Amino acid sequence: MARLTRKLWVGIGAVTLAGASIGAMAQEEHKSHARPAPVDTGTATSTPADGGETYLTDGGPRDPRIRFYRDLALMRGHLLVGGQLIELGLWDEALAHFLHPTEELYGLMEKYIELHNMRPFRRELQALAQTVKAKRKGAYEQALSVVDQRLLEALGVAQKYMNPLRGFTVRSATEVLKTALSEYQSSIEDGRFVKPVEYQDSRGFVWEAERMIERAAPELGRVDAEALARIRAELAKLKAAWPAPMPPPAPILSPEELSALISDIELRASRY
Amino acid sequence: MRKGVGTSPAPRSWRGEDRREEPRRPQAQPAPARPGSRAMDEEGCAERSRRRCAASAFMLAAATGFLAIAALTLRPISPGVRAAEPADALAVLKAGFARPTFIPHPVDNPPTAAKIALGKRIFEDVELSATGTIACASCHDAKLGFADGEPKGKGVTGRRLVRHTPSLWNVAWSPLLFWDGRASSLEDQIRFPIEHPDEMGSTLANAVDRFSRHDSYVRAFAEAFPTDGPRISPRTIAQALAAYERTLVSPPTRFDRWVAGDPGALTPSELAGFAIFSGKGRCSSCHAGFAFTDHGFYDIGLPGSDKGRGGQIGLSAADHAFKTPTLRELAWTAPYMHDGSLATLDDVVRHYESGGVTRSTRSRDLPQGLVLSERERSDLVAFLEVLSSETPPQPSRETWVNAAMPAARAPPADTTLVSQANKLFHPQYVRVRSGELLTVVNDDTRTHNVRIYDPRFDYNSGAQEPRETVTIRFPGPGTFEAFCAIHPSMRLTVVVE
Repeated sequence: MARLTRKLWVGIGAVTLAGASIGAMAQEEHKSHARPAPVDTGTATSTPADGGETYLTDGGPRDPRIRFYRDLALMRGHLLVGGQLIELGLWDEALAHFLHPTEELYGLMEKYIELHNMRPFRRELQALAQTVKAKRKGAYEQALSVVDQRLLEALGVAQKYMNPLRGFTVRSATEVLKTALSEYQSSIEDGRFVKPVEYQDSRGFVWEAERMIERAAPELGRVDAEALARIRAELAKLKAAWPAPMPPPAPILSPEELSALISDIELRASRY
Repeated sequence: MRKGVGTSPAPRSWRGEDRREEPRRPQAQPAPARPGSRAMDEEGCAERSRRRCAASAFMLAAATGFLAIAALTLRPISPGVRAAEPADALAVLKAGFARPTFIPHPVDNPPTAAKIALGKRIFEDVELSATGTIACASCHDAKLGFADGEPKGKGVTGRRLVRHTPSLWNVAWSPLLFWDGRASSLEDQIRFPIEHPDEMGSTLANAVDRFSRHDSYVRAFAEAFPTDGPRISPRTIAQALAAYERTLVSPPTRFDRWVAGDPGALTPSELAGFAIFSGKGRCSSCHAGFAFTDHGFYDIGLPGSDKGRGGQIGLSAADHAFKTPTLRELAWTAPYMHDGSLATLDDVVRHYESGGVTRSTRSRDLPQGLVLSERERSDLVAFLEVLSSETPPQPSRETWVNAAMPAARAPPADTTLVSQANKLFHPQYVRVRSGELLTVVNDDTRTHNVRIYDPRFDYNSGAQEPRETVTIRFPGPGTFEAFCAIHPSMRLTVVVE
């Protein structure tokens, strides 16, 4: 998760310092549980001097609920593409996708997990990664079922604070797609893929974003069927860039083409 | 977790000895069964007489721990009242869980670096199996806490085995091995999986034959057993494997720091969990001592027709009784129980709350009507997790464990060394001559890898754990970009001249 990740890594130190402020935001969220605050569509670009959080200056969403939903979805995207690689017998290739959830994401989510009394699941993620290191399918499936359960539990708690859920879902899915674009860009140098892991990350994220949209599709369709149809069509075009879990010899779509498709999805998503 | 009445093979004579001062003894000390327990190991006398002498030191200490915990059980602690209790009560309690200071190697199989190294090599060698496909490490995988992460593993036949693969952590202190205790020492235990038709399907004689064909094994056995002859034999194979397995000591955790005197090492939730563990939950009545096991056998009410210990010793009163497993590194060795039926620690705790199957052999010491609140359950699980390393565990590197361990291998002479540290390659740009090796050593505290994705060279080192090295030979001249796929900002440019 190159560019965003680098920014997020920088943010890890800052989040420690900013923890109290983030905590205050989350506490506010708790207070308003009975009537959750509407989605904050702002982008986190404020500086500490402006009273914002350094943690929130990576251009990602300002709303901690969307950040959490996005990060959870990124985890699931990692596991999804990792699972696809395992199905191909590419265990070594898959390993990074089972280490990234703890190496890159969990630390950023930990405070939110604590504040909302979610069951921690770092060790379950690490145990899953161990099964991939061991290249044991049975152990992997066993550990994955536990992780899936933990992620669903966490998402269930988080979604209590998201109303209407469809708005949070499409916004979070859009953020996942933006991260996918960042990964895709990072995978290419001199017109060829040099970092398959970044290509795979982006594939997993796009596939997960689609799953998020599809889970919310019944409600999205009721609100605006035309926007949903357009989002689905754009996602189908987008997915053409990742014909397989391993990169093609040359990029099928340029980052600019991907960016245009994602922008259109974001525009349609604003209907919700 | 297992608890309740059952057989306990551990000698229970207790004179208040400090384990750390206990000398190795030539014979195990017979001792009465725990007061109030139903002794079920009627074959125990003969078996105990065969027991390895050095284990007695641990047993005495385990008894010390048990009595300390029993005292605590009579007056359950809680974080809120603990401070008001006599300081020595907590000290006694902690002493029961203190880490040992030596590995109880038997006097007739003393450890040497050569023997341990040989044992590790055999442990990882698929030549032990009839098909040449299964090693000890296939089921006791170091990456999975020396277990296999599955409810039930598979051997050479591909059929599911009858029971869950147990972890090997701290087996040096186990007087009886296997879920049903059918082996009385590690040296004795070795032959069972090798000869079982569904596990490795071979024989020790076959292993002798195969190893004798390899010069490197002949040399390794000669070095490991310099005064023995013939050097490659069923006995030396078993001794080498046992010597290695005794070094699989679980590393210290935050719990050990707390026991050693750091009051801030445990969180309030973990301390509350410990109070339940030692009090209301009565877990510590069986999960006692450094390794959190009394090495006894209990029917804890899991469904199934497996007779366990009862089938082994021909005593129906011991039917469905299985060995108390260690709780060390528990978080890394799921799923749980002899049948691998419980996927999470939550499931385990809920099993004890439910009480399990009602039958005549079910341990009477299982807590009746145990009811835990969500908070209590969460605290208990938090405590259980603190018995595990924060990151995937490696065998302890404490000096007393490493006394006879082999030294790390030096990298080849004709190589360029690159280090991975602080999520960077050092240096980040190297030149090597064509044909020269590049060795990358992980000096970091986390897993890395080396990934080169180039039409001329597609290379993936796989997981590279701390202190592990990989050696790369490039296909020819050119510039190659290497990354760590786990931390893609780690970049190494290699110019091959």
